[in-house]
Amino acid sequence: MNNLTSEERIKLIDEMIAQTRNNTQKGAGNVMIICGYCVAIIALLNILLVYTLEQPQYAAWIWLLSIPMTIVSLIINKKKDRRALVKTQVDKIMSKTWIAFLLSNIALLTVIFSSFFVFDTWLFAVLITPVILIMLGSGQYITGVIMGFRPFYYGSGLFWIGAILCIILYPIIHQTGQFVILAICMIAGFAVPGHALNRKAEKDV
Amino acid sequence: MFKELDPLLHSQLRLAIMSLLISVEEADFVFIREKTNASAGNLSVQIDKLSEAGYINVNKFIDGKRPRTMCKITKKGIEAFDSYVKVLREYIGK
Repeated sequence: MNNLTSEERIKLIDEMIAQTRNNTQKGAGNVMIICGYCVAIIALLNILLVYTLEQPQYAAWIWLLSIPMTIVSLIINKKKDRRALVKTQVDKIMSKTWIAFLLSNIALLTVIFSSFFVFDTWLFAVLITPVILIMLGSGQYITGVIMGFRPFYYGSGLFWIGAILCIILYPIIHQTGQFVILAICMIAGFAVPGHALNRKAEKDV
Repeated sequence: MFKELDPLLHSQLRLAIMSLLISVEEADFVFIREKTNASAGNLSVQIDKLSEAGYINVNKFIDGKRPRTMCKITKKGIEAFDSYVKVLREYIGK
């Protein structure tokens, strides 16, 4: 059993290292699917509330629903991590990338709301949706590079195009139109690649 | 003059275990067994030997009702593996 030549030993090492690649965990796309649909639903509910509430400025409070969504996502991720048979550096980098996105979102909202007190204008609020889309695009692109999974690249492209459309179409579509773009991007650029990742994981198992 | 190969890594199964662990953060016993095609008993013995040498850390715990064994390569293990591969390459090169 131990009578391997040096070449065979190097080959064995290479084979074992190769075994650790392409180990997409079952249900790896679940968080993406949940976040994709949830944010899309919240965005559409926001539009609905703008047109139905007597005081439409309160419609934005619907975004508080993203807090339980984030908590649920973190719990699902933690459970998935605990059950994982193998944890790679790739998993770690990906997890950190999306934590960075979450923290960047908090920083962005703080900057925008602070700007109201400094400049006495809500004008910068029009940047919230496009900047979030740009950050989502970056997150998806990094995920795509790490996993070598093409649907994430398409998703990132969609987010970046969506961000540009949010601003150049603003005179026509206004804030509500930005939410429509956000909803479309979240489903096509987040939930759909999540489904594709789950299908890949089923094949890998 | 050739350097001597680390006898602990000279076993095929122990080398396979170390090769798997070098490229991951940590791995479950079940994962290592699947990838190496080793029997549970033999794998358990070899993991214990690597653990005793300080090459890997073994963390045993209960996940729900299921016992789990997670293995992680240590700094000492990484250094031993690196020098083992270096010596192997010298053998092939000469």
